[in-house]
Amino acid sequence: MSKQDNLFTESNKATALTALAASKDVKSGNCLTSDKMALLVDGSLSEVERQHCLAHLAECQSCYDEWRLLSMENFAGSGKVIKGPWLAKRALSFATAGSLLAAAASILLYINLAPPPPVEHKATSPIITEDTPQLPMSSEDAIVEAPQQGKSLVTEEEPMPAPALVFQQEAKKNEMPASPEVRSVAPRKRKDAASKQMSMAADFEMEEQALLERDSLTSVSEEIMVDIANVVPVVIQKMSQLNEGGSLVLLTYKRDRSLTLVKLDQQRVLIKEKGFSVDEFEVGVGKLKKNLKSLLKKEFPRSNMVRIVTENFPAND
Amino acid sequence: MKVALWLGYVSVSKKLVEKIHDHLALLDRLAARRFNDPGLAEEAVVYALEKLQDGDGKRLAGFSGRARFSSYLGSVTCRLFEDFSRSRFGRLRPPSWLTKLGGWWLVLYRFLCLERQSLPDALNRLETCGPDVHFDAEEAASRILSEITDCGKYSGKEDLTSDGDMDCEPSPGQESQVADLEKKERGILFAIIFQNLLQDQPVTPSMNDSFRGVMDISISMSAEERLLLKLCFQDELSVSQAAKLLKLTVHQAHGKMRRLLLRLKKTFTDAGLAEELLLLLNQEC
Repeated sequence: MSKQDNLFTESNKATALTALAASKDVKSGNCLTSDKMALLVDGSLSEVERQHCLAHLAECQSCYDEWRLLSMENFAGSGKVIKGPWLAKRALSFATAGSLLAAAASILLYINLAPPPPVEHKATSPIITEDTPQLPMSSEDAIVEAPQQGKSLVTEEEPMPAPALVFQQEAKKNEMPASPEVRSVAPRKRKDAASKQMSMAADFEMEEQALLERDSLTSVSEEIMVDIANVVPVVIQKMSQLNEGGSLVLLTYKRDRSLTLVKLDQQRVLIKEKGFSVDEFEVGVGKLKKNLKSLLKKEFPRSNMVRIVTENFPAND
Repeated sequence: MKVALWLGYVSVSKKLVEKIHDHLALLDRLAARRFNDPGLAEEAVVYALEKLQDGDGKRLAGFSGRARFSSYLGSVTCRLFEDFSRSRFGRLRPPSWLTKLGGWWLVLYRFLCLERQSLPDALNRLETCGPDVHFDAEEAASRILSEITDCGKYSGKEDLTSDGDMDCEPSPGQESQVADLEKKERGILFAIIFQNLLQDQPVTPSMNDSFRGVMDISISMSAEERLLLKLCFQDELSVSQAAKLLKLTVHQAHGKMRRLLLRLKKTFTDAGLAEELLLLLNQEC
């Protein structure tokens, strides 16, 4: 049982309400001015002034109602729906910023240490074949063409190093500047690798597109982080926008507990609870809000932010 | 010189109007929270906008600049919403037992008796405001309708008869009537408070005596403690939400609440509350 549940027992409620009923109403000064109320809501009053205002609020129902309305609005307003975990509501502390920098540095280090991709190797081993017809070459390629005229440069995988590269390595060893002919190989290699990658990416994209077109259940998913106070209205709004079969998954920040809401039709929602207890049940749309509140209290008792993953499907025409 | 002043004045009022219009979304949200009815909320916003711009924004003249403008505007608008509500529905003070229960009870009373909504409409509207699952709205509504016989039959005149803090002292002949009324209200109040704990148990005479005795117990609570109790047990906010409103950390609020409840229970025990009630209050600890 959570701390929250321990406090909200019937006996505690009766004790609190009895105490409130028994405590004498003592009028403590005039009602707060709008300016003072605004300062109190913003938290800009001195401690003495604040205590004075709170004393009045404890006695005056109309000022109390106004303060509660404004304060709730203040928190709801500041807890806007934020997309993505990087833009969390709280400002990044120095410690968090430091951790992020360290993570970025380690990624950079990893990238630098990682071996070059195989495509680069392919391009570094050009061999000269006699059978292949001569390809039309640019002026750059014409310079590279060596040592025999009439032999074309073909990029194929070959363990043997090309003569030009051997020359380059030799030149490096002897601390001699490489010849302009050899240096001009690099752009060509990069161009080849890039074009290969692009063609591969294009193929992959086409395949993906074909698969998606074939599959009529094309889903659109989106993840947002929402302040716990705003979860219920956001979920209800999103559920109303979902098509049949679409679902919302509410996750804790650590993603260790979840609530999945599947829209069965316009009137029914299937709720799958997976956390402190595992359960599955159907509710009407009218009862969704009530159920959601109790489930949030149960499964997200100490959460400040909730991840909401939307899985929507296009409507069946 | 006069022309320059006049031009300055015009530009100030124009700026003010622009500033108010920048905060229209805030006004809409406040109205939606206050009235829980889209139509009514829209009318209230229109009313508030008119009043805010009246006399070149004289209502906003008290803004000192120390607080945020949005907070100040929110506060002024809340008061204008109250004016709108009074001009539309009149002013009706709830009986003291309802005031002491506070929270959703007062909201329900407003819907039923002040705004004269039908029972299903009031319950629907209450559901959209989102009271906690612990609050049994139907039971509360039926209790209000049964105890306040003239609920919804408001004549347009301000009702002061049920107000606890009337200035005039009752005459000797009226004292017994006042005592009867107090006894009746006390009975209703404690019957509701202990309803869930008592279940089907009958209220014993010793319990009745205790209810009377409770009102004489002097309970010392700071303003912050009272507000914490009101927020958590009347308005049914979570402790963390109450902590935010009171600018406390969640741990501070939990600690305060736990210590306060223990202290209250001890006070009730020391004051000689009936054993049956103490058993009820101390169960589940």
